[in-house]
Amino acid sequence: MKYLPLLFGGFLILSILLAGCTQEITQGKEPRTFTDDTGVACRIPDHVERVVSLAPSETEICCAVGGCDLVVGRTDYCTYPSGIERVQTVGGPRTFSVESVIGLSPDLVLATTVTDTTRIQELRSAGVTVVVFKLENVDDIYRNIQSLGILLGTRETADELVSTLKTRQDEIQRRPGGSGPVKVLYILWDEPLRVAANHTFQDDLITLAGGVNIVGDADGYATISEETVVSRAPDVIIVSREHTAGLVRITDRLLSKQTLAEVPAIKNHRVCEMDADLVNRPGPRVIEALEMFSLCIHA
Amino acid sequence: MHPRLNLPLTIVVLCLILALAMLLGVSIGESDIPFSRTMAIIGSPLFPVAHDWTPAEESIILFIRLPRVLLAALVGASLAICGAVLQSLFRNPMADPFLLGISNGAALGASLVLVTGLAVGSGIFGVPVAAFAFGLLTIIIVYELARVGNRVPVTSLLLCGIAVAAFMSAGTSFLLFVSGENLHQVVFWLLGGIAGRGWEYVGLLLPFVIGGSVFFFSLTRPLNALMFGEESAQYLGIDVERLKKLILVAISLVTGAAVSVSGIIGFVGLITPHMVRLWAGPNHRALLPLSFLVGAILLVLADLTSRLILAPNELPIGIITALCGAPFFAYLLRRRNREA
Repeated sequence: MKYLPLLFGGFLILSILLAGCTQEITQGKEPRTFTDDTGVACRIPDHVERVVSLAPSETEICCAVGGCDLVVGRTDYCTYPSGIERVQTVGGPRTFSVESVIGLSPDLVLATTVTDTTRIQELRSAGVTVVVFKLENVDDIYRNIQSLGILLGTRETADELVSTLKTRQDEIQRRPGGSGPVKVLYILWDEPLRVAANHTFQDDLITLAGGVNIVGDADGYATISEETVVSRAPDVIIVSREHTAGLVRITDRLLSKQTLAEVPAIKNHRVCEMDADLVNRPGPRVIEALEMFSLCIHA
Repeated sequence: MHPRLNLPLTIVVLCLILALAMLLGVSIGESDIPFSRTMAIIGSPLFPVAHDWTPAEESIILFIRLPRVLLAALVGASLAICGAVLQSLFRNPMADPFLLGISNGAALGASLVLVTGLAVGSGIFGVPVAAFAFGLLTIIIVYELARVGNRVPVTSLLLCGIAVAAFMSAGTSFLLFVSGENLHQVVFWLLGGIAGRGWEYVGLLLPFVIGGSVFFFSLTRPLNALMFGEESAQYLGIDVERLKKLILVAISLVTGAAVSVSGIIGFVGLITPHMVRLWAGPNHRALLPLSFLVGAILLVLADLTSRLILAPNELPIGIITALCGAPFFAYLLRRRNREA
């Protein structure tokens, strides 16, 4: 039994190490616990005052629930809403500097499943609270908005936002669709053909807008061959238009490809180009994206 | 050449296997098109046949599968024959077409275009042209660095190749790091792929392959002589330095063209000549044409695998060539060691 103290001490050390999210208990108040989408229980201080966002979508949600003033750090890609550019950046979503984040002494860091996990681990080891969100569909986004409302103490604004968005979603979905299912393909890039398959937020938008994703049998963002496109014959193709590489016109290249000439979407010029920031970011503007998907699919 | 090997017969057999592999490549794919219909579609431009297929099926066969299979064969053949020639020139079993940094330079060129989004200004050929130019630039730098007066010692060529290749790779890695959203395209290019390349790419590569191969086939005797060492070759009346220069120019052009259309497809250029040597001996009269054919067969089959294995996902072909090539190569080596 002489090892008991040792064992106990070991447990103590282990539990301190494991409680990566633990923050100091302030003013004797019981800190809140929040379990994030990756199953990590995070201790959240009562009043969150300094937020660092490691994803454009989280920055947008943060601002949409009225927490824009709390954001003290962002990534290079966080460019919306306007005015956010004044906030200091910590680098790219996968390449940000851990030191810069810690240097901003945030009481809450917002990340998504796309954020570099090694860096998240580093932040947690340094005692920073990092909450990770999974954003694979529209319901995830609603959940994310409500969670941020709770975390930032702006619950009412968040709930209001969600109900507004849901009402608009219902309106869009209630619109009468055309006859028969519309086959849709969402293309992120054309060489090689990178498309949104199952378990992506664009796949959810296609389904909600009343379309059928022709690559629903593949998972995540998939690389497919042109043959797949020709043989599955999508009626509509949606591509995103990049802001950063404004020179690239994927649509023009798709339309001029001899190989795809027989695809109904190409033949009938039903290729919709959409703002990449709007359709590739699972944020509060998602319903605008859904509106565009719906207009495109039922055109 | 092994005394047992009947070269003309072997060539005919390999040509038949290649034809069979290409037939498989054209007739198998994501969409089910009956074999007879595939044949009819291929034959339709040449022979009058009844049109009983949809336009979609025709474009799948004629504009997607056929150019793709041809491109796979051409790339495989050029990488394999360049590998064979380089292994002899350097008398080094580790040599492959990418040895002197062509691929690293090409990768840098391609990533530059992909990351900065310059691709549009230069049309669809932006990436291949940049890759080709940077590949050649790399070789020129390596050659000039390695040159001592009029001579280019093989060792310094190899070492300069390593140095320049490392520099180019660092450039590519940096671009990958800062590229953010375009990361996927660059990675896919680096892993090699002939997906979505149409007839224009076949046209781009074909002259290089034909010209290069004819040139290499004409070098059978000097290459055989070179196997006894540069000095001995010199005594046999061969202008070794001139030969080296000519070979380097030809290799750069052919490999550069192959890399520029297909990205970096590893292992074919390294193991194909070894496979052929283990089985047909080191005589270049057999080594060069057999490497050419075996390389083509291997890449056609690898391409078929890459699009079937995770369909409808398309795997980068470089993964397949290394995944299947490495164990097979190890097996061949073990078998030879046991026999020895």
